[in-house]
Amino acid sequence: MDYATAQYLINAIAIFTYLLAVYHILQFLKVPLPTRYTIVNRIKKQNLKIQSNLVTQDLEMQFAAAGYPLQMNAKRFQLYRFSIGYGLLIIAVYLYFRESETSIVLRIIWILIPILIMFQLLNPKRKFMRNVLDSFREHTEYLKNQELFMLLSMMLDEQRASQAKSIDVISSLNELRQYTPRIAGSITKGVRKQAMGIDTVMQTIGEDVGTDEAIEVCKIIASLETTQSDSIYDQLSSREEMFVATLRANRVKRRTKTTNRVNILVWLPLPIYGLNVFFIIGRMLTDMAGNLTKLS
Amino acid sequence: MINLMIYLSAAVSLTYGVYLMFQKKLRSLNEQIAVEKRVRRIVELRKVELLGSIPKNSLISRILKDLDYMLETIHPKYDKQSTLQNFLLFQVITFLILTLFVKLVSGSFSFGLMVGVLFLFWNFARHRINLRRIRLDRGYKLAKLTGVLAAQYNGHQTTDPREAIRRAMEDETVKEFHTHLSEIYRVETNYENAAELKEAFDRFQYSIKTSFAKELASTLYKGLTKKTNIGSTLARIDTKIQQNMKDILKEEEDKIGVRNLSRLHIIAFPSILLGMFLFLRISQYGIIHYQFNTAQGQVGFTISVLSIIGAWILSTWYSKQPNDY
Repeated sequence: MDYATAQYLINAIAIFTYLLAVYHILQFLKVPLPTRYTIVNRIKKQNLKIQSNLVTQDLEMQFAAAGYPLQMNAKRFQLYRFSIGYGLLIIAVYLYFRESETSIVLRIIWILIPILIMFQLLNPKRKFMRNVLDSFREHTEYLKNQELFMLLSMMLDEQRASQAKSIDVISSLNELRQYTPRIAGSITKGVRKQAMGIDTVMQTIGEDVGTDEAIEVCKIIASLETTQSDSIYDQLSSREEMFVATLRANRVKRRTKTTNRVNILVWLPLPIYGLNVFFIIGRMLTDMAGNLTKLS
Repeated sequence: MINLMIYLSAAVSLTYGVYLMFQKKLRSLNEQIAVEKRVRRIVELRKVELLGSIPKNSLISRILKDLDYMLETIHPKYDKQSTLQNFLLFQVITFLILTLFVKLVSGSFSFGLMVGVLFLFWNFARHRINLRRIRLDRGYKLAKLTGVLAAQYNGHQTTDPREAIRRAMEDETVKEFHTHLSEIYRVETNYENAAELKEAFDRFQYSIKTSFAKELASTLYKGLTKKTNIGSTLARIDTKIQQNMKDILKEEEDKIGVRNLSRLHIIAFPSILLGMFLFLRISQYGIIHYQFNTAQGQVGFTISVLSIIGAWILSTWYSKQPNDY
């Protein structure tokens, strides 16, 4: 098999992959409809199908748990992902046929890069995006926990100021909601159930915030109506100490990780300017060899 | 070339002279615009309050807000009305002048554009590094402020934190926070809606950007708007921040190697070039010719310099950690 045949074969494979992609997109868009539907109805139905396939409930939940980083929800993320990916793919295929003098390996790599970006790097089921979303989720959870501890502390302050043995938890929750923007939605959700008693309300809030600390702290807040202030203060401080200890361990872990990565990146200039010097010397030696052949 | 320089300096000095001539008028115009903006914002806030419409935050307005807060933190003579405008004007004009100048000198437009973009990027990176340095510094000094505030607040019998803020303003040990505290105090005495106070606290928070600062800001905000007791919350924040600082100081060991390595590159790369210049004479041209007059050498030089600068920036960015979890 000579070079030309191999090239034809690879071209054929490329065209076939492209057609396969087009076929998959068409399959994806296809909606069975009765004949008397108008074209507007067809477009609407197709949009609904695309949305239900791409913007799943799980993905939306993941983005909500991550606190919508960079103002991204699932719909926007998928839109950016596929528009960037397919745009790059179209450019790559165009270049593949236009620049037919360039090496075939380079051209195939051009086509492979957008596919890798679309289905490997930006795929929310794969490792990279999962790690990114997880790190955002951890940060959001930490902020929520912090706000919850602050809420509890403010309530204890009010109790201490009013010199009463117990306070009305629900009314103070309603008042303090504006100072804790991240868990305000959960609080509203819980307070709606106030006819069912304080325990249900706090349980709903804890489950909606979703962290382990939140559930425990919500239990403490629920017992605020009946018990004395001092014992609750002890509970709060012991609870918070445990929380801070886990945070500290996380910080140490994160710091060692970043230090290792930065270490590699800071070593990187050494090979780069080493190569630079190496190439220059090579250039000088070739010039010298040329001069020597001229002399002889 | 010399003609070009003369034209350039004449243009710059003429523009600056015109600016100086109209400076006072410009300032008064700015103030008028600011008053109009304030009126419009109050109208919009009323709309939000009465009609329940959601205020829109576009991307550009968010970026401008961020730049404004950044300039307030790093600029020594910050002025609310004119600093942001002057900053943006300066960036755009220098970008245009640089691009055109390099285009005239070297003859290639894309190279001029690249130099202009690099200049903008360099300026941005410089300001961000400065901001990060200031934030780290203020994050560690926040421990003193919380101590002062908690002591002053719990020492008096009033539930209003205003008195505590006023006393903290007078304190010499926390004079870094004086501008922000006085801004908060001034707004608190004569604000019409709570959003203005919220903005003052946002500015305070932005200049530190740690979770403790956020907690302190929302606690003080609650105390100022509701006039209820916040004493033990302040004390709790203070103990937490002191404890965290102790922990960080314990952990902070031997992270200095990365910085030394990045400094090594700055010495090593020129010294290798110098050594080759002095001792390597095997061709009729010197090393300088191959490094700067061939395309390969130019690209290699640019990439090495950029990577060395990048390594230096990275090492300064990560060698110290913020006072946070």
